Amino acid sequence: MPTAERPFVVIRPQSPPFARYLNIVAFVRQLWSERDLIRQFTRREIEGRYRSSALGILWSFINPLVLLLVYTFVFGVVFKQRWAGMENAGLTQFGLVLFAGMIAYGIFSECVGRAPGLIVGTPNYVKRVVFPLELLPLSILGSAVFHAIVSLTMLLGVHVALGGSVFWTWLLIPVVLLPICFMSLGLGWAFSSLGVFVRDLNYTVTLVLQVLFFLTPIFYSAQSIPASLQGIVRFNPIASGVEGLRAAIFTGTITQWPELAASGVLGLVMMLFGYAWFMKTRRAFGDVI
Amino acid sequence: MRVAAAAALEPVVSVRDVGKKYRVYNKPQDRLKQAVLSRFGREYGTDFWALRHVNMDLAPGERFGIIGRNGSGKSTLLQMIAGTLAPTEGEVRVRGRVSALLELGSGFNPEFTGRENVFINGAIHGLSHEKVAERFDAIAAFADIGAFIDQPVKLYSSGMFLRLAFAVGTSVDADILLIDEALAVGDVFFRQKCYRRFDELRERGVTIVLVSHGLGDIEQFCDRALLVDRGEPLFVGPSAAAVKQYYLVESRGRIATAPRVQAASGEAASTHGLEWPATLPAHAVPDTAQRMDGWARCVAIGVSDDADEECRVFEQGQDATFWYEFEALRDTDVPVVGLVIQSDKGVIAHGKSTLESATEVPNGLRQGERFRVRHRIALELGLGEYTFEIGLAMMNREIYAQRRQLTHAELSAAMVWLCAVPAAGQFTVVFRRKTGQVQLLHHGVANLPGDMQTSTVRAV
Repeated sequence: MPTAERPFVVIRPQSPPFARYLNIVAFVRQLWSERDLIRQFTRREIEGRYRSSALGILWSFINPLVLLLVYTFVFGVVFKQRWAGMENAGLTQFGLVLFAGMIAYGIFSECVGRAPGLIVGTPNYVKRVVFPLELLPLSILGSAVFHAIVSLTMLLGVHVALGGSVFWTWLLIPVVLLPICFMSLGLGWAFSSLGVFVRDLNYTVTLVLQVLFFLTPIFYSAQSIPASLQGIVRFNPIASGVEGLRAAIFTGTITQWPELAASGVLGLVMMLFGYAWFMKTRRAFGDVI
Repeated sequence: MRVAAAAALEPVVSVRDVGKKYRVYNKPQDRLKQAVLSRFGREYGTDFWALRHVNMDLAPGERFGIIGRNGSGKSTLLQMIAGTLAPTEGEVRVRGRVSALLELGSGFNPEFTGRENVFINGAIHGLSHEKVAERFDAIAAFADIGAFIDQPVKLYSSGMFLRLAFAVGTSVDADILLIDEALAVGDVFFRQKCYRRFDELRERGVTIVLVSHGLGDIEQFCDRALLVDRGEPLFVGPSAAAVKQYYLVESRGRIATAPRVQAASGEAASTHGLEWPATLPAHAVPDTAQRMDGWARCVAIGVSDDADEECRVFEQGQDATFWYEFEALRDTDVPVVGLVIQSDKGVIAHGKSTLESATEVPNGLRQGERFRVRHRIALELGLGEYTFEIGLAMMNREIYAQRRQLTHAELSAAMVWLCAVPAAGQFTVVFRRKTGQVQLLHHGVANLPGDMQTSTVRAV
């Protein structure tokens, strides 16, 4: 299009109202227009981590594999732990079940944990180039999902290799993980913006993520919590994803649909508000960084 | 048809009464407190205007420069046009795609190869993967870094880094190209290459905004320029006029412009008959800008071209005439005066005194007498910004009489400094232009006299 026919972009002191960014159609359209860049930055995120190492991307596969084998050995063979509700399963199951929970939680903790330092860590993209900053949390999610897929593939492989059954509910795994992705993205946007203004957020988030790790039924089954404390699990929006993923992989029946639906809706709201907050505040980033 | 013509004349960038206010906070938390609590009447931090009352319109294809001292708000303005900073007041209207080279290579990831970075950078500037692939060969050719293109960028020299970044930044489909100080780091060949690229871009109708301390660059390659000082726009107009204004502002800060030295006041006879050109303003020097101890002080400085017009931008090899004048506050011995030229990197490019040039000087100065110097120098210098320093010393008459038999060290020891002006002024050396064609006569600090001959020789 010749320059003369292009519309003016007007930059004014006042940023558009918060509510404008809550438009879900505009939200999807905006991110869709940036898909090429999102793809490139996700790739960069994945490749960049092990860049310059001799094994490169192979580390993305070695890490989860070793962890998986260690869990299986320590909890199954050494401690002979059994999972509440799956007592009939083989001894080695405990490590696998544990690992499944960690995959689901891993997506969340990767996105949220990286968020406070995300914008602060890339001052060049804030001040030096015209860059759609909102795609950075997305690229972190993309990389987290990639690593989750790698880990899941290994988990399912080992599961089958150890004589476990194959369930059709495996196909539902993406759906089960969707609420966690929504929430991760929402908090990713919110925290990456807040982290610019409040530098303490980094330490706070790290601490909270550790606490949350133990408050989420990852090392234990939700069933083994005393009834009086069930509320912790019920109102923990990540718990449904963790429990749902385990159910989908190991039992073949997902009973957590109501909780998943609730956290899905919550996740959508968080995502939209996180995005709006990010877009509303991003104009001030350049002033602070 | 008429509509299209009118649209073409319409500005592509329009800046209307733009200002940027910063609140300076003691603690980062105060910013959040201000955002939340200011509406309840509590205030945190203090205000500071980085830039105010800026107005400008840029036509399509125009090359526009922004000049001013450090901290005058140049980069702030550029960032507001780029959209990476929001103005506090006023309005910026931009039509078309903006490519900002606010810091070359800032989008590069050091761990990735040059090739990969070209693709990422292209994407940041809005080019699809296919389009970058299409232009990749041209980009690599311009950057001219050979096989290094497939090495991680962290292994690059700063020059290679710069060349690649510039190649990518100017290969995207921008309608407006914003460049901040990008070329200052490149060598002169690269800079010439960059300016050829600017010419090409201009022919395509790309508007270029260049922020630079290289006043020569601004004068030669921009059509118009904006001069900002301490956040206020002082001048918008032809770039040569803007550069001249810049030097005036520069002198106003340090050297007060004085009424012209009157040669008619009967002292003409005491100044060796040298006539201060009527067309050349004489700048007075405040005492605070001089190093003196009560024996003499500098009263006037001026720099002119051969036409006796005040001049601060010279082409390579052009003659500059430095005029300076001292007033004796006490009777002195034999005066020795001289001038030292320093590059912006602090290298002394040239220095010469009346002793070295064997210029005839009076036997001494009487109290109240003025001593005027006309010092002509062919500026056979490398391109760039220079400052000059002037000084007056005196020497015992007997020693001066034997000066040809004495060593340099003995002469230096016998010299008594009376007055020195360390930052007497500055000037710029630019490319020589002949019939519009830019010529580089030499490179390096100085053009040394010499000649060359060649012939082919039959192999023995």
